[in-house]
Formats: sequence, structure tokens, C-alpha cells
Amino acid sequence: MAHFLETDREGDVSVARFTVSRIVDGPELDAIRNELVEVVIAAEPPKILIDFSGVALISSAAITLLRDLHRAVSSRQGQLRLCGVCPDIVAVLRFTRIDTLFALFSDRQAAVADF
Amino acid sequence: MDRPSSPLPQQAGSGQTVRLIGWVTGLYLVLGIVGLQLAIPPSTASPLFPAAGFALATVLSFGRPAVVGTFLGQFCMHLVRCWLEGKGWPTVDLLLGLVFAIGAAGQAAAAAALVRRTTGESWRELAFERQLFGFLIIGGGVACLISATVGAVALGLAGFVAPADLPYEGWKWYVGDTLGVFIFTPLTLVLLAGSAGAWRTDNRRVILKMLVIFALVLVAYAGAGRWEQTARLRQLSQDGQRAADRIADQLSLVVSRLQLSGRLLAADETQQHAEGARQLFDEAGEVVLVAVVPVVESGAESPLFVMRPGWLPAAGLAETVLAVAAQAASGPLTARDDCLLARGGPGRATEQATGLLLAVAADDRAGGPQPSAGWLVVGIDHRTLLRQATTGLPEGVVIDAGGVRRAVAAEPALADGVGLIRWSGTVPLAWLDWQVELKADQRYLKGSFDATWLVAILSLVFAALFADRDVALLAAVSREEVAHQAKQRIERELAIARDIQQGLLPRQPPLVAGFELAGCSRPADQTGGDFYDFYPLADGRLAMAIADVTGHGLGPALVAAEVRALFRAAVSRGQPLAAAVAVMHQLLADDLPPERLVTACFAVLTPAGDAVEYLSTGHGPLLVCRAATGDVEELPSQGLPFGFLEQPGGESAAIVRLAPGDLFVLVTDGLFEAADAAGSPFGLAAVHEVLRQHRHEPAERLVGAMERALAIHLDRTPRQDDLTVVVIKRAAAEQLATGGDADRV
Repeated sequence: MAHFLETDREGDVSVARFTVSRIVDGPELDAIRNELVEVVIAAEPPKILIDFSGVALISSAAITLLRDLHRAVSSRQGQLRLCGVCPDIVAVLRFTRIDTLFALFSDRQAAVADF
Repeated sequence: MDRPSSPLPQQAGSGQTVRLIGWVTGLYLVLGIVGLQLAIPPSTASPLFPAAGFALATVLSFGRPAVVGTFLGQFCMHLVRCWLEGKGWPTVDLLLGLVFAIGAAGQAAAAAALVRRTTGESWRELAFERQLFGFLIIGGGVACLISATVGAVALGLAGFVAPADLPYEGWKWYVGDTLGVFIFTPLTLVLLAGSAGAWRTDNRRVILKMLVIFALVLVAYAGAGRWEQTARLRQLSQDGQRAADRIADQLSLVVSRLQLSGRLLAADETQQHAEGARQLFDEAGEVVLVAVVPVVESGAESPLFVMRPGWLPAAGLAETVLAVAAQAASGPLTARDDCLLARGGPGRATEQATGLLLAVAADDRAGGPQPSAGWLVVGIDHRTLLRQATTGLPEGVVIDAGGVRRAVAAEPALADGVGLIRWSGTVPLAWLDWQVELKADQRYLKGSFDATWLVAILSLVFAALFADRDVALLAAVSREEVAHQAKQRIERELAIARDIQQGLLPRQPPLVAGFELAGCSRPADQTGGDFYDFYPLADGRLAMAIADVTGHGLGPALVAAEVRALFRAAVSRGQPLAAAVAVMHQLLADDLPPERLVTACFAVLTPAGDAVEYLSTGHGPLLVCRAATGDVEELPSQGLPFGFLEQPGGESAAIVRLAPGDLFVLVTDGLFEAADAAGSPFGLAAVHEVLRQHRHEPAERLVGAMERALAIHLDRTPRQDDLTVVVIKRAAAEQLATGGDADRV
């Protein structure tokens, strides 16, 4: 089974990094969604950093990933940070106002330091 | 696959179940008897047993009633077979019939269970060649071991087949059942399918083709059988003639020695040469007695010189020899007394149950009818003679010569007179003709090349594979046809959906004083998740919407239709734009599937005004192109997409003011994210550039320019997402001055 996320720990922060460069519609989207939710569930404490470095494109349908991620973290009353988001994706987040729900950081160190 | 419209009654109530059992029993009986007629002697097993394939197909299709029908059909078939063979119905055969029936029914039930366990319900369509292969291997190759094993063991226990022959009998039984499954299970399934399901395409052609193949194979099989029978008879006649020739040679040798001894004795009246005469027969193992019967006066006791009294079972031999002598003394031996003239003198032949006496006149030299010296008599052990004559014959034959029978490792039934093939001929002795008959049983026939079985198996295997391949091809063609029809149906329905969705788009933009409006929406598939709409409000203003439902295709199209309806319903109440959007948020929260989000932007235009009120729920970018400078601004969205938050906060509408000639352009991401073959997106910068270059053109031409620019970028690469563009252009200053649009409000 393919894995779309690499998980790591930075202190008490659970870090997940995408291993794919495109997050678009298709059967892989649900697999990615499940892996993200598993990361949130397994994170203890619920401090989660999602590293988007390497991801160049997300489709509009893939935005539902961020919605589900946000809901999963909220249900655990956890903290969520995003880092390494490329400008094109930042633009999409800005258009959709989703950037207002997430704290975006340029790199992993800055994001970890913010927890 | 649809339930087949079968020629057999379908499984339903008890009455129909009984009918079904009756049908299966009858057809199994008929097919079973046909199969028995195909049996190649000496075996009673058929190389092709159609009933086995029929049983599997019916059990698969109808379940337990077909198992019962198979049991009854097999039992009835055995009874009919016994009756045809004239055996009646002895108890042992009734028991055998029950065992055979249990084997056949158990085999069909087990085969159906195995097929279902391993391939599920795919047997109904045999969807792929691999499934067909597995189906036949499991239903035929594996399951058919059951009936063959049960049947062969039962025959062995009943004593009908020798233990050494059980594997061969079981093998032939197994081959017959397996080939029956190979050919007749698919054929029966096709027939049972009738005109229904995936089989329906042209199944008559395939059925006819399979039957023709079957008939051709039978012709080849019958020809091979006839050829082999002829070859076997020829072999048997050669063996019989060789045995007869040996008998004749040995008897001729005895006669020659007898005549030579007679001359010796006749030349020596004192009979001192008797020992020499006896020695002539020392190497003749079949001669067990040599006696001299001298001529005596009538009424006197004949002295008997027994030269070789080794004939053990001949209790009455002495009496017979004396009778011959007495008869010879009383008068010349003639043909009237079963005598034939031997060369050089009269001879006498008589038979006993176990032997043969030959007599010649001791003074054969005289050549007269009446011997002067006496008689020379030899006794021949008939069995020894036959054993010597049949040495080298293959096993499994019985020779009957002159009323004495000898079996060469033959079955008991054959020794009793029942032979599978036979040959008869005559041994021409000098004074005696013997009828010789040779009969052969299975053991003899097995020694020859089993060409018929080989031809039958090879041809039927090829026929089965060919026919089943045809069935598989039929199924494939049918599936393609069904899939094609389904595709056509879906395409028709999608075309209808597309027409409906396109019908929901504005046929032409409304006329609003002080503004030019234009728009287009191009789905990536037949239907899409984008739409735009214009809706005139009761107060004279115009409401406008553009929306993008995530994904594309029929699902998003349905959601888009719902969003459009909610938009019209919400704004028609005359409430503020923010309130209308809040209502939409509330209503869509319950209806949107989890995988769907909707970004949308709603706007309200006041005729002859310069302001456009708008509210975007996650939809962007909202572009404003200033006519004077060509600058393009990107306005922010006020809220999150529909479906993103379970309890969205209230958003406020915003206002953008447009100078004469300014553009307010709303697009979906299908425009700027559309990528060419190299994966390079059209991009927002390109959108800005098109707006700058064509900002002075009418709104409709601007939309066209945007589409053309995108087409050039894509260079025939198909779009992956829906594309929608709406242009709201405030009329240019000169138009406003002339009030050219005022009358068009």
C-alpha cells in the first residue's frame, strides 16, 4: 500500500510531510485523507504540523482535505500549522479564505517554534 | 446477468419444484442413454457423458431440485441399461444403480458448490477467459473425480471389474464425465439463458456451431472406433490362424511318427522294434500313450502292449484302445466308423473328453485294408496339444479346438462363452477337420493400441476448448454489447442532463442600463459543476451568481442545480445579499455531500449605478480591470466556501465601484488552472493580460477573447475542469453620455 505521508516528530510536534507533488481528484484523494486523519488521531499531544514542501498543485476538490483536517484537529482541540506551502497554493487558500483558518509558515523550524 | 428465461421451469413453489425435478430427471435419462451408446467396447464407459455436464449446469441454475433430478435420472438410466442388456434387475444391480446415482448427484452438487466457492456468481457470465478456465477445471477436472471413483470402486466390489482394471475403468469414467462438463455445461447454460442476460447476443449461432462441432467429433470418433475394431479383429484372426496352424502341424507330425512306427513294427513280426517305435514319440510331449494292438483271432483276447502309459486322466483309455482293436479285428476300419483314410493305410480317430486317439495299421507298408500285424495306437493329451499350440498368444483369449477349450489368462466370463470379439476357423487335418474358435476379452483388447480413446479424447478436448472459447467469446461480445448499450444509454441520459443544465444557463445576458453583461460556461464533461446565472429582482435590480462545485460530472451538476435554485429563492425575497447567502449556507449544510464544496460569488447590480454589491463564499479571484489604466485588481473573498464549516459565521457583502468602461470579471479555476500538454497552467497573469488587451471591447467579445487565448494555450489538450467566465462591464463614458442603454433596462 502506497503511503502519501511521511511522519516525523519535532519535540512534541507530530510532523507529516506529503510525498506527492500533486494532490488532485481521484482514488488517491481518499487515501491521503485517511492518512491525514490517522496522523491527527495518533498525535499526542495534538500538535500537528503539515509540511507542504514539495507539493506544487492542489485541486479544488483537494481543499476538502484541509476542511477534514481542520475538523479533525478541532475535535481534538489541537493545534495545527502548515508550512512549506508554495505560492500558487497560498493563492488558492487566499482566494477561498481558507488561509484564515490555518497558520502558515515558510519552513518547518518556524512552524515548530510557534507551537 | 438477468435470470435466464429457461426452457425448464423456474424454481418456485412445490408444484413447480416437482416439475423441475421431473424435467431434470427425464433429460438426464435421455442424455445418459445417449452417452452410453457412445461407449467404446470393451469398456462400458463412454468417452463423452453429456449428462454430467447437464447435471452441473442445472444444479448451478436450480439448486437442490436439480440434485434430486440428477439422482433419479442416473438411477433410472441404470435400470434402463440393465433392461436393455437383458439382465433384468437383480439386487446387486439395483444397489449398483443407487451407488452410481449417489455418485452422480454428489458430483454435481459438489461441483456446483466448488464453482460457487471459488468463482462466486461469475459462472453466470463467465466474464473472463480465466474464469471460464477455472470454472471448467473446478467443475470438470476436479469434481468429476467423485463419480468416477465411486463408480469404479462399486464395480470392483460387485465383482464386475477385476481389481487390476479398476484404475483404467475409473479413468475412462472420469474422462467421459469431464468432457461432458467441458462441452455440455456451457452449452446447457447458454440454452438455459435463453434470450436473457449477457448470453443473449446471437446465442443460436453459437449453439448451432457447438452442436455441429459435436456431430463432427462424433463422426470422427465413430470412424476411429470402426477402424480400431477392424484392426483388432484382424489381429485376432491372425492369432487364431497361427494357433490353428500349430495344431495342424503338431498333429501332422504325430501322424508321420505313427506311420513310421507302423512300418517299423510291420517289418518286425517279433515286435522287437517296439522300443524303437516308442522312442519316436519321446520328444512328442502331447503323446501320452503309445500302444500296439496285434491282430488276433476273432474272439481271442487281444494282448495289449502299452508302450507309454502316461495318460493319467484317461481312466477309460485301455477300454477305448481295446475297443478300437476289437473293431479292427472284426473288420476293416472304414470311413463309416468315423474313420478317414490316412496316407498309406486306414486310420482311426476317436475323441475323449480329454484326449485323442489316433490309430494306424501297423503293417501300413502293405497298404491293404486289413492289417496283417495289428494296430498302432497313440493317445494325445488334448490340453497339452492346445497349450503347446497357443504358446505365445496374448493374454485374454480363449481357444476352443475340437471341443476342448483353453483360456490364456482370460476372464472367467470369457471362458464361459462370452467374448467381446471372436474368430473361428478350421484346422485341416489329414483325416479330421477341427473347428477352432478364438475369443478375446478386455485384457486382450487392452494389449492393442487404444486409438479410439486417443482420437476421442484429443478431438473432444479440442472441441471442448474451441466450443468453450466460442462461448467465452460470445459472452465477451455480449458483455461488450451490453456495455455498449449501457454506455449509449448513459450518454443519452448525460446528453439530456447537459441539455437541462445548459438550459439553466442564461440564453443571453439581460440588458441592464449602464452595464454590459456576458458569460459562458463550458463543462469538461457532458455536465459540470460550474454555473452562472442572472436573476432580475422585483425592485429592478439584477442579481448575478457564479459558482463552482468541486469536481465535475453529473454529481456536481446536480449540486450546481440546487445551488442555483437556492440562489434564486434566497434573493427573490428581497432581503439583503448577506442574509440571502446566510440562508444558503444553512440550507446547503444539510444537503452537500462530504466530498463537495461550493465556492460562489453573488452580486447585485443597480441599473445606471456605478456600484456592484458582491459577496464571495470562497470564490476567487474576483478581478477588476480598470479601463483607464488597464490595471487588474484582485478583490478578496468574504467568506469560506459552502460546506467548509459546519457553522459558518455571517459574512458581509462588499461593494466595488466601477468607473465607465471598468470590468468586474468573475471566473472559475477551470480558466487559470487549465494546463497544456506540458502541465503548464494558463495562469492568472495570462488572464490579466487578456483583460488588459481587450478591456475596451464589448463584454461578449471579451469573453470570446478569453476563450480563444485559453484555446491557444491548451493547443488541443482537453480541459480537465469546467470553465466559466462572467464579465460585468460598466458602459463606457460615451455610451453613458448618450444614454444608449437607458431604454433597455
